Amino acid sequence: MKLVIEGVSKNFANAHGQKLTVLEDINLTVAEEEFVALVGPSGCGKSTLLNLTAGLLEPSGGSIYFTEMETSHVPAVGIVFQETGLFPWRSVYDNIAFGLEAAGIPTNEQKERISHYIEMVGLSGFEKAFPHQLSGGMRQRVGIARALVINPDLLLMDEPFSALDAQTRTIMQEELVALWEKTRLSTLYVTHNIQEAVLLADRVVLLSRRPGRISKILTIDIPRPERENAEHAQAIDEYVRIIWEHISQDARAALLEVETNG
Amino acid sequence: MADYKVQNKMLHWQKSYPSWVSAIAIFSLLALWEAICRSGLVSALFLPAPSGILSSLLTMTMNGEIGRSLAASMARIATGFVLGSFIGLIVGMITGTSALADRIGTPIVQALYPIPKIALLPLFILWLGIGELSKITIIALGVFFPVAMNTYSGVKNVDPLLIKVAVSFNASWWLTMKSVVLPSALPVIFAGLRLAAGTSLLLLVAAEMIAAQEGIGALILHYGDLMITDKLMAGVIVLSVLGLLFHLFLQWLEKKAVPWKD
Repeated sequence: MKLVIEGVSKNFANAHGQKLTVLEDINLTVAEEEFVALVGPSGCGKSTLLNLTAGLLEPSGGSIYFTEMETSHVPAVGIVFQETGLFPWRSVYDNIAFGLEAAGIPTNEQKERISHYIEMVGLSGFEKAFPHQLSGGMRQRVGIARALVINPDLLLMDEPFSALDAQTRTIMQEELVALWEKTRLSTLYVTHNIQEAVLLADRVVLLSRRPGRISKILTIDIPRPERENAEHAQAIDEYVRIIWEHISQDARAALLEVETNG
Repeated sequence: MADYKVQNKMLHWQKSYPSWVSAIAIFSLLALWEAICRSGLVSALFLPAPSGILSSLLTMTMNGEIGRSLAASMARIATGFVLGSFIGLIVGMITGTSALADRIGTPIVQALYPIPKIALLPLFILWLGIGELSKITIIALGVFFPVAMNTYSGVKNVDPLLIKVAVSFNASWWLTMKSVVLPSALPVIFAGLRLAAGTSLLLLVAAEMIAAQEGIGALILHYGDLMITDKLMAGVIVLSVLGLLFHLFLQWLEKKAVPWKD
């Protein structure tokens, strides 16, 4: 299986009816068992690209498709949303069950799969809890379990840890690395945190803003589970520095724009 | 091994149609109504044609009948609404912020709320006479409850963090109410005002049908007794326009009063 994004563009009309080009001529593939991170300053359209890939938005041009599929089924896409998007009125268990319910999987079959993923993300004992009773980190674990339980062909993550505090975030990143090594799902991961992208991804795709274009693609040549080791610290820092150098000008422009708008 | 193109699953939810679709629908409905009347399928006595209603409305406007009735009705509803919502706002603010007032006032409000207000009109006529005062009072009472209850819940649900901010600056009780509690509760208060608008219109017509010489309610009842349905319907149209204008006025007011909410 391979995800292909081919010549994709996306325009929006702003409040004054003017055309705003958010994405322009995006060409990108995500291979089997590949982890690709999209990095860019706010307003570069990285979340838009994720939404287009998820089929939650209509592209203005180009196409997005799955190719080299082993099976003939419609590819399943698991999405982890930034604000978790858990249903407040459903328990942890029922939130995770939602995707299986939607797929029409019988309740008795659901049970084993759900328990498996509840255990995998470390939520055992919290099955009956409601989202508001959980901490932010726990909530996003539910979000991850909900996305994984459907056995997706592609995992999409939209800044899943951006609402968490720095410590929880670090822990969740480490857990995600371990989880990913177990599942090895093709993943498209959106973040504005450069460090995070370098720690998690096989390839880091940099987007520039207005219009959003791919400005650079970096391959991170360090085995993922070893990236936290001290011996690689320098190499990691070097990647981070290169990326920051590349996007800092754009990031400053974004900051200024938000301020003048506000 | 067929490729699978990503489809936009949100298409149905993101679809939009131009506003002229509504206009066409309304005109089609009116045309159908007119056609049914002209075909002689139903007697004009039971269902007058839109054209007939319109011409009655025009003559009644020209000869001043509508103007007189509308002026009487508007004076009642405006006075009753302003009075009822003002008192409701004060009571809601006080019961929502003072624990003692909450204990004393809330059970009373809750006990009186379920009474269908129109049942009290005979009593009010006895107490206040058959004139304007009893009608204004019944409208004010009907408006009071939804506004008081919504204000109460709006005030109760103010983000405690914002109150802490105000208190940390040693803001006075009055400043905290005026600059934190009231603005924060405004969206909920407006929801109450919109509810109250419907209630006030209902009570206006009911009160005018029971005891009034002039007013839209009296006009409708009068032509109902005489079986002049096109003039009766003209009165109904005036009411519907009145309700619509009331709604638009509140919408405009909310936009002015709550500019931070889009």
